[in-house]
Amino acid sequence: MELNWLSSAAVWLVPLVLLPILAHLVRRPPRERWFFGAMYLLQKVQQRNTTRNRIDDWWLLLLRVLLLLLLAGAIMRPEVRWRDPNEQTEYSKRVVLLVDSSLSMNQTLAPKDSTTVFEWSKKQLVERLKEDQGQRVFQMGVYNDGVDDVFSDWQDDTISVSSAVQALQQTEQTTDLVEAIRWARQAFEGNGGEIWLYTDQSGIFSEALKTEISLLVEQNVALIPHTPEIASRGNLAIVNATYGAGVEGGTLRFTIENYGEVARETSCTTTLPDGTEINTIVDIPALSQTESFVTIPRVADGGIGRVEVKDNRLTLDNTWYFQLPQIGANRVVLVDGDPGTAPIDSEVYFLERALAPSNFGAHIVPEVVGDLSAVDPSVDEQAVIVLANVATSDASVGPLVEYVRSGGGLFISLGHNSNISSINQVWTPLFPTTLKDRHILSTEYDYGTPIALPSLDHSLFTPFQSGGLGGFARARWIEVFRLAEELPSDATVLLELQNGLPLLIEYSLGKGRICLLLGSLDIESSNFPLQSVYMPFMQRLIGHLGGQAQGGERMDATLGDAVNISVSSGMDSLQWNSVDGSVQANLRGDTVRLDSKRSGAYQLQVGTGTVLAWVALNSNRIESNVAVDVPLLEVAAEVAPEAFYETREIGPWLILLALGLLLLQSLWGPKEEVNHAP
Amino acid sequence: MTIPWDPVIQDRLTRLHLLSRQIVWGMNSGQHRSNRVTRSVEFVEHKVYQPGDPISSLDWKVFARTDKLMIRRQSADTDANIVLVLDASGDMQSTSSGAIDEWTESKFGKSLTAMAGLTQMAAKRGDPVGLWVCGGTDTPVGLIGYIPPSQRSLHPIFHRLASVNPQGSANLGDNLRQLGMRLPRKSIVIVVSDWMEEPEEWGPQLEVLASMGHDIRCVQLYSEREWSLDLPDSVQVFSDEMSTENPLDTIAMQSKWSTVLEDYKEQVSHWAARSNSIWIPAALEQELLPPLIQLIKGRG
Repeated sequence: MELNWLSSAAVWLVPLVLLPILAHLVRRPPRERWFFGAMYLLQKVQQRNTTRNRIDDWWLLLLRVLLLLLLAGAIMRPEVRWRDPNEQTEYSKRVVLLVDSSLSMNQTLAPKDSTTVFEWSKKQLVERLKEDQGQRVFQMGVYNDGVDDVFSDWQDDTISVSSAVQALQQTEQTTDLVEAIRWARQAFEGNGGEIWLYTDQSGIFSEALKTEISLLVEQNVALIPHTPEIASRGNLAIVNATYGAGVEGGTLRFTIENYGEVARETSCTTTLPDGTEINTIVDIPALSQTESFVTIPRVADGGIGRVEVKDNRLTLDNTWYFQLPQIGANRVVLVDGDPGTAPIDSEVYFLERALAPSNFGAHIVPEVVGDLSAVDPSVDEQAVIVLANVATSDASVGPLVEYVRSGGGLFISLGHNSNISSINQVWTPLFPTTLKDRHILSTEYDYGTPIALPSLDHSLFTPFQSGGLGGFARARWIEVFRLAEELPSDATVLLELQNGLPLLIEYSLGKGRICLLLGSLDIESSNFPLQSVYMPFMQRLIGHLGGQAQGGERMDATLGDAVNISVSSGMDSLQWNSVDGSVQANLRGDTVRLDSKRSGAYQLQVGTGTVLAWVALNSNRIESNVAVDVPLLEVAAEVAPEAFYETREIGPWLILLALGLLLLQSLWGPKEEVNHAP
Repeated sequence: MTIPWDPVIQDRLTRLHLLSRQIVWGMNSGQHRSNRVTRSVEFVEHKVYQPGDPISSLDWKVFARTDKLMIRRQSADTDANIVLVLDASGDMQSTSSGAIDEWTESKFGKSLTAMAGLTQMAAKRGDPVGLWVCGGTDTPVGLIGYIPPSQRSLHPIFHRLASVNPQGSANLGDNLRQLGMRLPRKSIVIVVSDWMEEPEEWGPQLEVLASMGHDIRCVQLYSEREWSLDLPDSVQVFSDEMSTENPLDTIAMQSKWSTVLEDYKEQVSHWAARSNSIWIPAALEQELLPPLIQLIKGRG
């Protein structure tokens, strides 16, 4: 309720109330003093009068001050007004029901009440429909960042409307109230009616809303908001989580925001892609953010993890999904068969630098060993084992074969330590076919043979589609090993030279994969390590061998944004997988779009095989702010006061009251004698 | 503080005779009718002088004629105990002008003058005189300071009168009750006060004293200006005894004041009658001698 003064210029009358007070103050005690011997008798007189006189004086003062205040107030023409959507003044036959289904409607009515605003709205609406005895027709729209009309036409059956209301689903999307009101207004087709709006009124209303409300008023449409009383609005939400460098396997930093006016202490649970849970206790001051972090273990699977804050007020924004790369120094083991005397002479020097460019915070931190016997191949310990120019030995073949069959990844590069006959005899199970010889490609006038442009069909080369593919052609080889036989059908030539000789071959063995490079990894047999494509390609190749988590494009996205993934044309059987299930991917040309209305961790997969993309989809945290900036009716009343305010002028009532006080004063006022006792 | 002597009053009072209205039982011969046979104005008999007999009772004419010392015995006259009761309460400092520094013109100053005159008169007549002070400070008062009636109490009484300062409340009722328990039988009790206390408190005690056969004589000192409320229209009145200071609108207060004053006078008359007291009002604005003469002559 508000109080306005129509003639506020008359405020100068208010100081008149000082007059009676001044009059009382002016009547100070007389200065002449008299030793009164008969005070005993005088007190008898005063006992009869003093008590009443004293009260009379103060009451009189109060009455007179009040009297003047009332008169001054009446002259200023006060007007009280209160917000009233004018609901009952006109019975409208047409009613549009608008139900907000955005994320903020998930907030509960009170800290210890699990009923959400959305549930309350549905219940209230159903009960309201039951009570409605009139011959109304209804249209209903459920809105978030857009509006979905529930019915194609006006409905007069309240039962079917109630059924539709009960079927409404809460979403995690943002709110577009302007669009919803526009939709409702258009539904009236120029006629009048009522809009029953069920919303939590969270957030800040845009200026466009005022325009829509003014249009509603012009169209004689009453906007009647229904919002429950929400006790101590508040919410905790994770608003950000990022993996970065740090001790051990790195640090995941996340930010929690407290949207309430009470400081909170709560627990956060970080769940890594491999299921590992890490708990943290955080204190979040009122209306502020707090950053916290967890240390990732030295060994962790790559994928999408999540951080979850414990908060019962609004649960849909408690979780934040984040990308986590494959972590673990011992997950990729480089066996250096020719360490050399200087680091640059090492067989794996370039590969090590390629996998861990800064050796800090890298996606893959390899462990380098000099002897194959130091490695105990196990899929629980190593994701990829790289054998670089390693001499053959009988003892190592069996464990390696078992390792690959169990799902491990093996990369083999050849070199001076590679004895062809020994390989053909001992390592046969690890090779697709036998080796023929070592072939020299350089001549006096021709320095080596370049690599032919690779096919983009393979996901390994997808990132090079937009650039860098030509880098492969700049790599020249002066020495390669040739195969003695044709490759089996399940083997794939990933790279070949322009003269047709295969260079990099991929084939499967059991659950695992082997990549065979028919050359050396150092710069003795090629300049490939010096090319710009070397580093990203080797990272991708090792990741590809290391498992599904390492493959595919990674993307962080917000619910409601367009999520488009570029894939090679002609791919089919693509689907988005998440913990909630699978949905067929919508492929348009060479772009796949993610159409989901729920946050979560999504993988774009070819069937159940290769992962092409990882998408961490989070809801828009603008909805997490559950505070009410300006009540909707206040905004509406600002636009059209006559439609949303009920007003009463109370000046005449003040005058009547003043007359009453005047009468009271005349009855109560001093008569014959006045004793001015203090 | 010194006693404000008034020579006129001293002179006149010493020439007056304070006669008890009751038959008194004095130890010595005097002017008051006694129920004992002793030296008297009216001759009863002669007896031979014995050592210890008052020399003043010797009949010198008989001695001249017979050369024998004979004591003359009279029938009824004897001495009477006179007890003066002084009100030394704080409000006795008030004067007719409302000023506090003119203490000789105050009720208390007038009281001291009257007390001194009466004491001297009694002493000159040979009547035992005592003093009881109600209220006051700087000297023993009340029971502790009580000076019983004696023919040798002149100087103690003067000393007490000169040293007492008015302060506090008189508590007349309580003091009169205590005095009644210590008075010799058939005494003359003279109370000089403003009597500005509840009559229902001191009135019954006067009645008790009267029932014990004492001759009660009261002087009431008052200010005519106060009683007629002849004060400035707006004045701040204060009282030492009540410790209050209030503004007073005399015009607005007039009618109620008259009512209260009349009520008070009625009560005073009532208790004066019941105690058979001689009640002498003495206005500060008037001469003190006439009321004192009235008092001594017993004309209320």
